[in-house]
Amino acid sequence: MDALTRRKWDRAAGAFDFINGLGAERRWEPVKREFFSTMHGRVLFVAVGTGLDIRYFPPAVQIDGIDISDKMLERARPRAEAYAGPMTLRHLDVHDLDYPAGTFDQVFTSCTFCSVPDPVRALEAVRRVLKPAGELRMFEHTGSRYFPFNALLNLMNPIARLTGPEINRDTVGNVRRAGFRLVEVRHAYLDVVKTIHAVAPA
Amino acid sequence: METRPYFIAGDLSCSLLVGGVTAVAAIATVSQAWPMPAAMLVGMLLGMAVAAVGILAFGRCFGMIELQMPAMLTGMLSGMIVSMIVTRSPMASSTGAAIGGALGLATFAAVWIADVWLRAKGERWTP
Repeated sequence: MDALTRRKWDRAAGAFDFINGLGAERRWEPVKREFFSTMHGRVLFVAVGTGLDIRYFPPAVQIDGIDISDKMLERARPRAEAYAGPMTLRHLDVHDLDYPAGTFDQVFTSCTFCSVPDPVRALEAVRRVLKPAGELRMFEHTGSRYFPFNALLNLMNPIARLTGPEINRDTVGNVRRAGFRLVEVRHAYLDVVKTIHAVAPA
Repeated sequence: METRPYFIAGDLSCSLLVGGVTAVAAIATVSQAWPMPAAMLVGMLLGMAVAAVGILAFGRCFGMIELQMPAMLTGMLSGMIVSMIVTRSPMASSTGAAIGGALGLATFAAVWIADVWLRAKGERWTP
């Protein structure tokens, strides 16, 4: 397990809901409701954080939530217990997924792959635990392909990464590099906040 | 594109404030004795610092990712343009704040239009 990343998110856990639980959640509520409404079967939710997204999950889905931070999971536990379906939480690094191959019908992420240290290796681990043709669905903020947004994000990235996420990643490219087939990319804000739908090879 | 009044008001207020405060800070820092390129660089850095404070202040209520684009661009533009003008002729703080605010409004509008255009550019791959 990546101790540096774990410590960073353990430190962030205390103020996470205060910073993200109001404006950002209100802003993205319509997009997230639609995004999570497609959950079905057995689902792996990578980086459950403090569980802010659990309120959007449709009922009666079997969900395994993982996070690298114990402190985040402590805060997520009451929200997971209130979920109307079978949901378990585990302290686990996405790089080291120990589930048998082909366990999950779907894997969901929400603002996760901006912070994973080795995104392609982690996405390969995700692909392994998905069933053949299983779905990867991501709600992520990424870098931009367009000036001046790309220049701005590149300029600010060294500061952003000190306290939290990287803000200039090519997550769509990383999904491809990890061996997924892209189905759809929808932009929610500029080409920076987006939903990505991809499938594992059949 | 964002159409909810709450978020439009928040994003716009942040940009107006960052533009105005950056301009006043640039006027207080730069003078006619400064070489223009140095003044513009310092103005841009001042704008980034002011924008960072604005994003932190408004971020909890409106979301940081969406605030940062118009606010940071406004800060950089306001700092550079006002500093450039000040190296040629003195400027009153009120005039600077008005110019900064106008740049905030223009940047907010430009980012909003870019959002409309880019959101329509999602991609779909047919198997």
